Amino acid sequence: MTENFIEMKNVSFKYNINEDHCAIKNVNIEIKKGEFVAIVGHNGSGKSTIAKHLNAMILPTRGRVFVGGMDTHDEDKTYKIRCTVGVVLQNPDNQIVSIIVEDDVAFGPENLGIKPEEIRKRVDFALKSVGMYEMRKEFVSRLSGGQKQRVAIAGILAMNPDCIIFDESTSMLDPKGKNEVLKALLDLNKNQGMTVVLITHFMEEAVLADKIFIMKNGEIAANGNKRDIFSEFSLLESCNLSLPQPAKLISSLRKEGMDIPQNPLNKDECVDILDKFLSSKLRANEL
Amino acid sequence: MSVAIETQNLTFHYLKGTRLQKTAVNNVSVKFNKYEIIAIIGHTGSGKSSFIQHLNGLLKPSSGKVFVNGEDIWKNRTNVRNVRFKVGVVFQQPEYQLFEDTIYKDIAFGPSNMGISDEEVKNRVEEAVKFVGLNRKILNESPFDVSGGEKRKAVIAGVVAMDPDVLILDELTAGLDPFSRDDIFSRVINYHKIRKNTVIFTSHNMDEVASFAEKVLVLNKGEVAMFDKTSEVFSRAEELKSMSLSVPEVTVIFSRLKKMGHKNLPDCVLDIEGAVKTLCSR
Repeated sequence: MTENFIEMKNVSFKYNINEDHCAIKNVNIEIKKGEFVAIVGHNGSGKSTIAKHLNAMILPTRGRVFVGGMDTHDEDKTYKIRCTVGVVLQNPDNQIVSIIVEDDVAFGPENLGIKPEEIRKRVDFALKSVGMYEMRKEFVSRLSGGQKQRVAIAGILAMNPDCIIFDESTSMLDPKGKNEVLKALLDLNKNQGMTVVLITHFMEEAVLADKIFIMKNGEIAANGNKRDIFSEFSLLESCNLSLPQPAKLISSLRKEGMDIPQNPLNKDECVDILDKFLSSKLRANEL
Repeated sequence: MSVAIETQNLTFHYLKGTRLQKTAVNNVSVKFNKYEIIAIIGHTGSGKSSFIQHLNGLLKPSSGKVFVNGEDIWKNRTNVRNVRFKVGVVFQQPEYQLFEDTIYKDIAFGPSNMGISDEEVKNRVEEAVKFVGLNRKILNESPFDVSGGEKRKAVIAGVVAMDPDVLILDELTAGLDPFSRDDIFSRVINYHKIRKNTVIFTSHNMDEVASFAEKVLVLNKGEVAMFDKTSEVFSRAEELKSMSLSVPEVTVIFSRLKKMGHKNLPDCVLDIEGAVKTLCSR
């Protein structure tokens, strides 16, 4: 058993201390180094509130958060925690500070006091991993929403953190842009050992993760590995979520009375299942 | 069928005449018929939003023409304002376009600038609120105190309250959870059935395009790549892929099954409903 890299212990948080409403309630999350975790939930379920706790942007009203053994309540550690955990936000316009693409990506490492040659290397690497290298001299204002988001991600990559939180960072991208970001994220996790926390509405994206947490009204409604979570169709629906199309298709067929016990995680598995199903039906018809 | 909006050789350059000139829309000629539901898809930066902003005169074409109900909207400069009441646009991330101190006032802003009576404005706001499914209790709250989903509904209500013939929705559901997405979309479709308006929407979500659109306009680098019935467009998966787009997963699943030798499957399955029907009928 490796040690937990990020730990949330019984965390509750109120945006307004005078109100009863908690944005999150009694949340316990443990993430190990190098893990890929997805946090899924409806609008207002508390996903982003969790993200803000993980790099000390906000502090718990109750409970404790530890990052690499550092308590986020410890003000002396705030700076170190923010170098450890980078966040890519929903809206890139809230995250971009410079006029030119490569200047923006260099902003983070410059503020960490890194040498110019090293900054150059990191900026190029980061821009290449998100497919924006060709546009490094462009004005940020002339980029589309999706392109800006990729610049924001590059800005975090250039700071070389141990963990990156993606807070619905793909919600504005076209299918290709989405795939590129998800691919870059998987590559960082599998090949560079980056700890990744993916916050999303979509089970299609969550399926990439090793571990999934489902949020509902500020609480963790379920957690587990993807296959377990995917079999909980009714739970997901009660959380305003929906299954990816392959799983939804098989589940709908089952509702129509067809005998298909498996739950496919992706379209390859779904094609396999349906291929066997159709072939056996064909044989039955011939008999 | 009569035409709601037509563009002829529509071209638009950003920063025209400067070193940074960039063509966002290139020679687009299309006709959108009345009562249709049309989706516009394209990679980020393909010109979708720039194109849409021409349809109600927010951007003036560098060259080419835009016709609304058969009328050239730039023929008479003072006429453009009226076009904005006929063609209503809900922009991307519309949460940021709320500005009044109550939700009610924000929804009423559009219609109260149309020169109609206060009574009529009130009726229209009431109707619009019903249509988008906003809780009446929050009408007197500040738009900054309600949730993201409610903000988005409030903006849509504000546009619907102007009762436009053409409703344009730019990335309507980006950032919404699947439940809210289906909820808002089914309300737009219901309204479309009652009001018999024309609906044009852009989306990166191919599942919702396949489920809701009758026709799809594909823009690629500012040009028209395809403009056809939804099933025709999504049967050209490889071409879409080369333009940074995709087709719904169930469409891929069925085309693969067909290739594996399961004949008698239809050429293009667009959504779960269609897929279930196909499989149950055999």
